[in-house]
Amino acid sequence: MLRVAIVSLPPAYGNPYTAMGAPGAVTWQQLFDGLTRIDEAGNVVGALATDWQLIDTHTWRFRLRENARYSNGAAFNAETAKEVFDWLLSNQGRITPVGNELRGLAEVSISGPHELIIRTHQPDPILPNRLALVMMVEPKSWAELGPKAFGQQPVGTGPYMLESWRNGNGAAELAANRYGWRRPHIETVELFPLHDHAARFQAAISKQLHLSQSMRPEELQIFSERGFDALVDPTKQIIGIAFDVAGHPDSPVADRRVRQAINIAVDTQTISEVITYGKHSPASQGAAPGVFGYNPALKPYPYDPIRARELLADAGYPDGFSINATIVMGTYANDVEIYQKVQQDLAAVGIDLILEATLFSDWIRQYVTGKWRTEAFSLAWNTAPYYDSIRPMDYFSCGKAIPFYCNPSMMPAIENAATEMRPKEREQALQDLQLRFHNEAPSLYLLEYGHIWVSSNEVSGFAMANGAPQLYKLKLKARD
Amino acid sequence: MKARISAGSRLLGNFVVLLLGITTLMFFALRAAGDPIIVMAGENAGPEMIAALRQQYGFDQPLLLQYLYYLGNVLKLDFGASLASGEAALPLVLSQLPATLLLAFLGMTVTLVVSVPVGAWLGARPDRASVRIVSAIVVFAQGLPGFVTALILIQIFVVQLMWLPSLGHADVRTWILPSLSLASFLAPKLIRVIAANVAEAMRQEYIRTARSIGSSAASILWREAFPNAILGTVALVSAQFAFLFAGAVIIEVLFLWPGIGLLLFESAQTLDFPVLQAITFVVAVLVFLVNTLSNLVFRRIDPRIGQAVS
Repeated sequence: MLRVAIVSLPPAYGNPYTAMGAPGAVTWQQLFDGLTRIDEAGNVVGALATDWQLIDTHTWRFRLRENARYSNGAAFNAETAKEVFDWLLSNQGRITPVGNELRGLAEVSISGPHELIIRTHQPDPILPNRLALVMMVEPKSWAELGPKAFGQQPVGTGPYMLESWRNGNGAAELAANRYGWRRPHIETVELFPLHDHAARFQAAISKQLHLSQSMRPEELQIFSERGFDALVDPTKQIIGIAFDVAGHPDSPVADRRVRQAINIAVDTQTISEVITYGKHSPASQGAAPGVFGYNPALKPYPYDPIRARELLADAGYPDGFSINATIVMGTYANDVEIYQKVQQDLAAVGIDLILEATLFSDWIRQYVTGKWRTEAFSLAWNTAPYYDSIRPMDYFSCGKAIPFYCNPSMMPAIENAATEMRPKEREQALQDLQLRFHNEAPSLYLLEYGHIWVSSNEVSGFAMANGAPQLYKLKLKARD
Repeated sequence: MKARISAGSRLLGNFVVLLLGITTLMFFALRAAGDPIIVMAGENAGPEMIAALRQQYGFDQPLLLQYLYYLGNVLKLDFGASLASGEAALPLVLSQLPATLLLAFLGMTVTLVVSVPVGAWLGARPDRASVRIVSAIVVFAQGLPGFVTALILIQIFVVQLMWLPSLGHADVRTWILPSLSLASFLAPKLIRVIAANVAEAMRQEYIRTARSIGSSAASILWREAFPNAILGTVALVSAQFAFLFAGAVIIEVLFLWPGIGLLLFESAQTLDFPVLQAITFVVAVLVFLVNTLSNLVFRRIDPRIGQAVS
């Protein structure tokens, strides 16, 4: 039995279309597969599709795995895959977060028992990446039970199948999927949704668990002394403080020089070394290394308070100013300390940053409606599940439904990068855009942040891919 | 007989007003707290998707209409389905209630087992140095938040000594730390009340009389003073029941105890209104029942209370 602590189970349990990324991905990737997946190195590789070809700029052919079965024994094939896409493209499916991501799909058709043809409205160079998000549910169960009840009894092709969402230990219990096309080394898994960090730490250090999610950097020494290994999730997020330029056009942050000054005034290197023990590097742009379109030539803004003061003076604020930022505290390890250090560094150049702590439910309401009370807000973004730089560029553009930062002059380049089908040209276009975003500084770029997992010395083979541990690869070591 | 019927109908009236007040307050307070549709739709949702979801879940109706519809359903004990999982809210809450009741029972048992002897001992000997030391410890413990006590207990018994587990609730060994932690919420206050009541009783004339006729110290304490000190204790125990649920939330989260406290925490994360409303309703009913029961116990212990009410 493998015992894993996670921050939480997906609220909708086994309905994989209700959210993207954490916390659902950790659980769903054990139960389901997409046609593609993002591997440990961030490359898109086959999962239920073995290979794919671009037929023309709008059309893709996906050849599907022939030996895959759902955990109820039903065969996976082009017909079942099409049923899944058809639901996601239906009126009901489109209003799910995953269905919403597929709004660029025009049609899905079958060209053979194990071959799908997918047509898109616009050229979509990252369609294979996009499909890593679409978990293949068993369509018959889905149709019979409906999305909510299916969530209670999910059926997928993943290496594990659900035994219980809450067993006697309060954990979700998974068992090896006997029909699965990948056989896990460990037959059963308990996923403990331990919301409280201290409880997670204590359970891990007392060796009640084999794997634990979201540990703090300062704890790693203790874990190391007790024989644990640590792994920083390579699916890194960029954590920062974004500026609501669109909603606050009269604020000092509407001036690019001010935004650059804020970036220069904050000592991200010290934040990285002292607060995160060097586990999270300073961010230079809106993507982390390894992501398609990351620009390796860009360096983080250098810490230079004197230059920051000069920029502020040039912008007409020689005596500084006061700004407010809406912050969700406690989302990331050490975030409170990080925000306090930002506040301290900005105060040193005359910027009085007032942090207004709020709950996520309030934060997301402001984010989605675009009605920010303050001119800055905490924002962590990643390129998952696509591992492509275009995704965060969408957030920081006029393309967002209600944008907080909209620079119309950048839109042609963004649209070009979004539809350019030649990989080399596209990579160059994205890297050029990264440079422009870096200079425009629509956010204070803080750190490249990855959740830290620890694994006990009782297991081997721990690896992360696309934000989820690859539990099927883990082996339990024989006890001495 | 007529008086009893009148008291019963008054009680029923209070019950209905309480439930109406609680359900109304929760309905409007939750809607002021946030928008579950936006949480559900996610960060990349556009206005059209949000509008469609609002329509699907009935959140597009005027608030007053939503309230009347909700109230009508509450009368049928229908709180709707969880917005997150789709499970019927009230059965979901009731399915997790036994775990919370077990925790409450265990916590209260530990509280009484500790508080009664310690409180009586403190009250019976108010001037000794050892009593003053124990009193200081009790005051300190009362100021210590329950979750801190829980984490300290886990650190000692789970991390350092490795005697007990901190996860789950299937094994009896997993019951020990949660019940001790919950008792740490309640015991210090109860000890102080018992001590004060016993000390007060020990100053009464009948105690002096008992001493003068040669009754033993134990007999004076347990047969004379303690029964007279118990009334205030029962009042506090019933009043503590509501706090017990509040304490259970953090204890259940820390120990992954699958009760309604954990459910409350998880539902609050996603603004799962139906589940939050059902939990509040169930807790209100329970607290009301316990308070009513304790009133009956008061009357049994001291019939003068019943006569005064009549």
